[in-house]
Amino acid sequence: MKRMLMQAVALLLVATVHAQTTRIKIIGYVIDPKGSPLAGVSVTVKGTESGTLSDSSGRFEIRVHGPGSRLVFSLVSYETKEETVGKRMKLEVVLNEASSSMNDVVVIGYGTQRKRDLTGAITTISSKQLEERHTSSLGDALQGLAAGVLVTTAAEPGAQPTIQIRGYSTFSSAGNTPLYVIDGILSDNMSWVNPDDVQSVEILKDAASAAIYGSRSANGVIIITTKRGVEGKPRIGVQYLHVSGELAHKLPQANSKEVRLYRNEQGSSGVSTDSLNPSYNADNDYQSVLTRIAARDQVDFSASGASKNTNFYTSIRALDDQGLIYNSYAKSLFFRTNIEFSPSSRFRYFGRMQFGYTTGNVIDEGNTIFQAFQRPPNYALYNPDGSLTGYISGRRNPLTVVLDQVNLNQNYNGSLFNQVDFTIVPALKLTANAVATYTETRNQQFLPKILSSNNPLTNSGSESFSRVIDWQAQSYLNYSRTFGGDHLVTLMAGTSAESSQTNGDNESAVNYVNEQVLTLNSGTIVPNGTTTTATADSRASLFGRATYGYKGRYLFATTIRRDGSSRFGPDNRWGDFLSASAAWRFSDEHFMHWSAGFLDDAKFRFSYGQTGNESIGDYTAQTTYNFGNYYYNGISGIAPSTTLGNPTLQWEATTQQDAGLDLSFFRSRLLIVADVYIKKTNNLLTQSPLPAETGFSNYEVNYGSIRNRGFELSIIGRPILRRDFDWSITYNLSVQKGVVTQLNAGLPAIQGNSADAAGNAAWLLQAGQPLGNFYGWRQLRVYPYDLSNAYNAQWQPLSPDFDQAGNFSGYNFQGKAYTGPVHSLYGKGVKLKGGDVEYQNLNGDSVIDNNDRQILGNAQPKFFFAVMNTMRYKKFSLSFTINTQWGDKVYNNAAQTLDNYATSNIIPQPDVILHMWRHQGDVTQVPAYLKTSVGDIRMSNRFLEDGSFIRLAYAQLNYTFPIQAAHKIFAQAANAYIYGSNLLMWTNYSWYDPELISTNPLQMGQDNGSYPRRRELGIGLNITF
Amino acid sequence: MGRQFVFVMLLAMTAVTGCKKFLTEKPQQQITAGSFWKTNDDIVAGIAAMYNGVQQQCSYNYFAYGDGRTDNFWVSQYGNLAYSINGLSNATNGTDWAPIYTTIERANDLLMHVPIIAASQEGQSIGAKASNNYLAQAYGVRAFCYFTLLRIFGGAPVWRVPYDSVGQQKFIARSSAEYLMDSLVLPDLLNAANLADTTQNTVWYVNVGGIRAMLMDAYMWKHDYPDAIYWYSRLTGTNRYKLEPTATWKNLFIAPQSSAESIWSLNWDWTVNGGASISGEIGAGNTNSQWWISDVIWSYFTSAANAKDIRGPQSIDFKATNHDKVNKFYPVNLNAQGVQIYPANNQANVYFALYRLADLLLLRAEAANCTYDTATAINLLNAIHVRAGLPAYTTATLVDSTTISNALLAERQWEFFAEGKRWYDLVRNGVVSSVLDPIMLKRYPTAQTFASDPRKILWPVNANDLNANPALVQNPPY
Repeated sequence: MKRMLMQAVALLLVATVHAQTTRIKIIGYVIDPKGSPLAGVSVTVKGTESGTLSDSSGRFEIRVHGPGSRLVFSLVSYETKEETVGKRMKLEVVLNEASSSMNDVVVIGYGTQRKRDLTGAITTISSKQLEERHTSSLGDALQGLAAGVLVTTAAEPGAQPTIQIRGYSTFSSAGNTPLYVIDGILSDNMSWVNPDDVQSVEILKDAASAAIYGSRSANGVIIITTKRGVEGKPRIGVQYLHVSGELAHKLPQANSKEVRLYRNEQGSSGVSTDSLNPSYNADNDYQSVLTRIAARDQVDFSASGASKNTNFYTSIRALDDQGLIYNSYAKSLFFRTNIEFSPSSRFRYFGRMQFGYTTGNVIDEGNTIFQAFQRPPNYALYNPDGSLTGYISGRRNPLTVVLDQVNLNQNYNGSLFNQVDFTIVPALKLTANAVATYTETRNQQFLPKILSSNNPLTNSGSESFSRVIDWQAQSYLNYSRTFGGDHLVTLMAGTSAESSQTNGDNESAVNYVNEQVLTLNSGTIVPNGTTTTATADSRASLFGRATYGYKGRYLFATTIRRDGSSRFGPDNRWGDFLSASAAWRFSDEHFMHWSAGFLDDAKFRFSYGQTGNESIGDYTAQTTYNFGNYYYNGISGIAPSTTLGNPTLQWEATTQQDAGLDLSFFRSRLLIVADVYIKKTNNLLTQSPLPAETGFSNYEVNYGSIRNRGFELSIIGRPILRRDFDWSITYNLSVQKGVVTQLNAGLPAIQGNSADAAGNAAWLLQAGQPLGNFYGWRQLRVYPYDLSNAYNAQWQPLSPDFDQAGNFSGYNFQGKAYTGPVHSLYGKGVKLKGGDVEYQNLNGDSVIDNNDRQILGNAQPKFFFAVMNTMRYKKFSLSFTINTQWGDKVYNNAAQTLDNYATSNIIPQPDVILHMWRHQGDVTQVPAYLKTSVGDIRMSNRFLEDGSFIRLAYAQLNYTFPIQAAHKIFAQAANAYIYGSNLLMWTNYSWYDPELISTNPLQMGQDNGSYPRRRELGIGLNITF
Repeated sequence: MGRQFVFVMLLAMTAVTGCKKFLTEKPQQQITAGSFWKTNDDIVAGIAAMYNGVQQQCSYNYFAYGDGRTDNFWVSQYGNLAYSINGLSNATNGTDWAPIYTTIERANDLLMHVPIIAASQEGQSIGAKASNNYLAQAYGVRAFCYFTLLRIFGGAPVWRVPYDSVGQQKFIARSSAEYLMDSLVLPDLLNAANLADTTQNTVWYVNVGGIRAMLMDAYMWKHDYPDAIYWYSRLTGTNRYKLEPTATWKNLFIAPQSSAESIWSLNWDWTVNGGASISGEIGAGNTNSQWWISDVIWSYFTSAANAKDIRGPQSIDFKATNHDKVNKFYPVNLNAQGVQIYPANNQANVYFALYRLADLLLLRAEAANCTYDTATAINLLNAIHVRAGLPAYTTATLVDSTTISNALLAERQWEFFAEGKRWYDLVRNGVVSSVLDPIMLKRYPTAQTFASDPRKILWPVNANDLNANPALVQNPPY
């Protein structure tokens, strides 16, 4: 709207200047740094009233007096630029986008607001920032772009990242995801949004901003607005991108010689040493065998345009992503059409149609990339006749798994959105919309005979469908009026309802008569695992907001929302969520006039609000009897669900206080946004165990609280801003610490591995402590001698002495001979010997057991940090992003599984084979090979590693073709670029990558050997017609 | 402004009316508690769920309790050595008694609702005989559960009514083993014995035979021989049971419904129940076993002197070179090389023989021996010994009650190998330490013996169970 207004004003100007006498005709083009033409740019001759506007191809013509004339170019949201004409007859002018315009409009819930009037903590991300990332999913593109928003990208093709705003607020994984609002539609994910369709993303971080979305906003809200057509000549954009990826680095793996060394240690159980058996005579480099150069091809097409009362935007994206591991792929197709139509100035219609299809083969990570490390490298991949091997000595051939195992996903999603805006009186607008979304997922799995561990070989498979139908309707009124010139009042009130119904079925089968046909007429259906499912939920809400601003200097806002959910008992269905916020633009005060020369704008914000969470099962409030799983002697039994219904359940409430400071220096060339917050979740919805004797295992309760405190800092600067060279840089820093302040006493304090002799990760959950505390034993050393297991009465270690003949001659304590009683440690009822691990004996008894555990480290990063740089020199621009996570520990369970000696046909890492304790006197940190553990493998610091990393996450070098060159191919603009991601990483972590997807807040930071992240290099071409 | 206000009010009103109904969602694939327990069909479904509970509690634990710690097995490299070296901890598999209490909850549910349904309009047609038999089964299964609890854990909390709402008292302390036996197990069994329909004798259900067998077993545990002998006579008084002939001994495990020796066996159908976990422990086609057959058993059955014992090859796969396959529960199914083919652990049916006549008969022999009736003891012992294809014992070898007792224990070990009986035999006869300690020390010289702390004969209670109920106290010294 603003832009149109400007154009109109400029036109008027043009009309008045034609009479002037001008000599020289100048032709020129105005483009943005990426080479796209800019329409509607006002071009004036400085010092005169002569001027014109650029057309839709960015072209303008103007007459000037002579070479000394200066032209002034201006456009809303872009920086105004002056150029001296000189002797040029043809000009090409690049306008840079203004770093941040305070007049920009920001989308807030059920309305918009000027950025300068905001009272909450909202980060806006523009389409430009997203486009540079060239990621296949929108979530990935958001990484590092907003302080306080932690995006963990997934490595597997088609997998979605996890996004977490301001720390973990509850214990369930579902309860920690933000709410997505896509063009007004509330959603749990944004996987169906094509990143190129996005006009802007607003991240509502504090409660005062998010509370308008009440029930599901405890983890912040991400508002996504898709593109619309822009007035002028229709634009057609075509983009092609090809990205190649490789395994960022290989990990050391035992070769067949090292396997032989290990087999010697194993003794009798070290099988497969038969040198004549072709099955055991290979020496494979599995990582090379399984991986390939990954390739991502992406084609985008978009068309948009607008006339006076309609505008449209439509796009198609086709993506083919062939992953690092053979046969892993994701393909997708996205279609979108956005239409707006306003037959009168009071009525406006919006239609949004979106359809998406994704398919992909999900690789069984455990049986491929991880199996590649477990399986002895001397096991054959191929039989002598060239066919693939299957199962050898308990180990699957990972290549066969990759090629023959099927786990095919097909997902369809379509939504249809209609909205009408009706302006009742100029200040009052009614908006009503409704959307229906249909999502279908199909999954097909198949395990062929060759991969069967059964004897005789059998194949098995399954097929499942699920369908979700979801509808939402919203209607709300927006009122906005300025009284007396200084008092801006806005009011909003509305109501919404939504409901979703999920139906699914799953069929399992065995003994497929033919392995090429995987429909279930080929297999024999197994009743156990063949079911249909159905579930539904619904919500209704009332909401409102009021804001008041005095001269833009004193700003106040308050929101209220009342939400009802079918998931709670009849008496606790409704929850109220309130918020209030205020801001003070102190730069407008008289006493700040001294700083006006460098400080353009300064605002202090404070907000307080409540948000909610209802992430529990649809029927958790009701005690139910289940069927289908309790057969006996041909009769299907009915038994109570193991979760007792709790009708007293209510909303989980998060209150958050946020104080922020927005500073703008040197005409927006330096922006600083800082926020501190305290976020406290009470009445946590948690599963509380019931005494097993009741026959139930747990029930959902409201108990416990978590407090997150954090600090966020964004600095956006443009240190250099010249005609041919400019440089902008953005820093985002997030520091955050979450502590469980109150905890349900019955919750198991040990999460994960609770056994006293297994190596996988365990966590301690305790009031007063943060989430993610690794809990286990601290390994001090490996006993060099059997005799080293000796202590004095204070449990200080004694050293054995040996005479010249090598015979034991007595103990010494710190060099002095020790003759007192000698104590020894026992593990699992057995006295520890040389080669066994010495753990720290915390409680000073003679047994290493559960009482000797301690907190070993924490899985949450102490801070995360991103630096984004963009440099432009003439037609070249270079941008790159560096991402950092610091201070987190990662439990390397992938290595643990290899190195725990538990399975005779899993080969440890070469380092372990070479350094394991073998003889009396060996000094090492690697315990001796033991067939049956006495506790040498426990959850300990041995596999706990520093997960800190610095990563050159994205980089792009772009070249914009001169306009004239573009015109030669009948295009308006064209640019080409080289793109890279995950180019460099500095870390001490020893497995593939310390950036891990952790969905369970109670068990985070365990690396089970997931799909490796690739290093990508790509090339792309973008043409606008 | 007035016009605008009306709009807001209109919106609000339409939202509020109809909301209550809109926000009510009924479960679509479950039934709410209030809608269940109305008809005879509901009882039948409840009974099936109760036996399903017995299946689940036996699937792994029946073996872990009855054989896991004994000299029948030694833990393989894939299992948890704790069982074999007296190193149980509060996290060891089997320490969680939740599966047992799940069954108790289902039995309690039946005991509460069957009389109400029987007395209701819909329940008129059930009849007293049928409803009493339902109750007998619930009492019988509940007694079976508490009997397991008191033998494995000692004392345990007593639940006689179902827990069905969050407000109800849920932290119950443990009652003593004696209390459980005298106030729960025996009264329940006596109740069941009275209520049971004596015409019903399907082996898959705890019929009157199973109840009487359990009564004998319970009295034997109490060393109350007269009562044990009485209930043995009541059992044989049904005139239903006789020993399976030598030739078809295997039927007891692969077709118990066709054997007159079977009293109570568990049904299993992997297609709906999933595989019985025990298969993965001691013999499945797709995985290595968690246990090896102990040298004691292996050398007994493979010695030339015992070549005639038909139980060896029908219990143990001597072709499995790493001694880790028990074939007892599977029909013979050989491949071309003559090697047994085992089902995958998720496709294994195991019909646990909870009670069979041989068990009770040898218990009767034990009672006879303990009451100085050695002739009867030897007689009964020989019935089993000879059936196995071995020559009868005579008084030349069984000279006194000690030798008889040893012979009885040995016979039970061979006969009920992997049937979940050995541990109870050792405890009942007070020989845990004298039998197991030497074997344990031989294989693991630094293991802690039962002699050094006999309290470790009881199992520890699982840490999660202790956490969930602050009223519970762990068994010392765990």
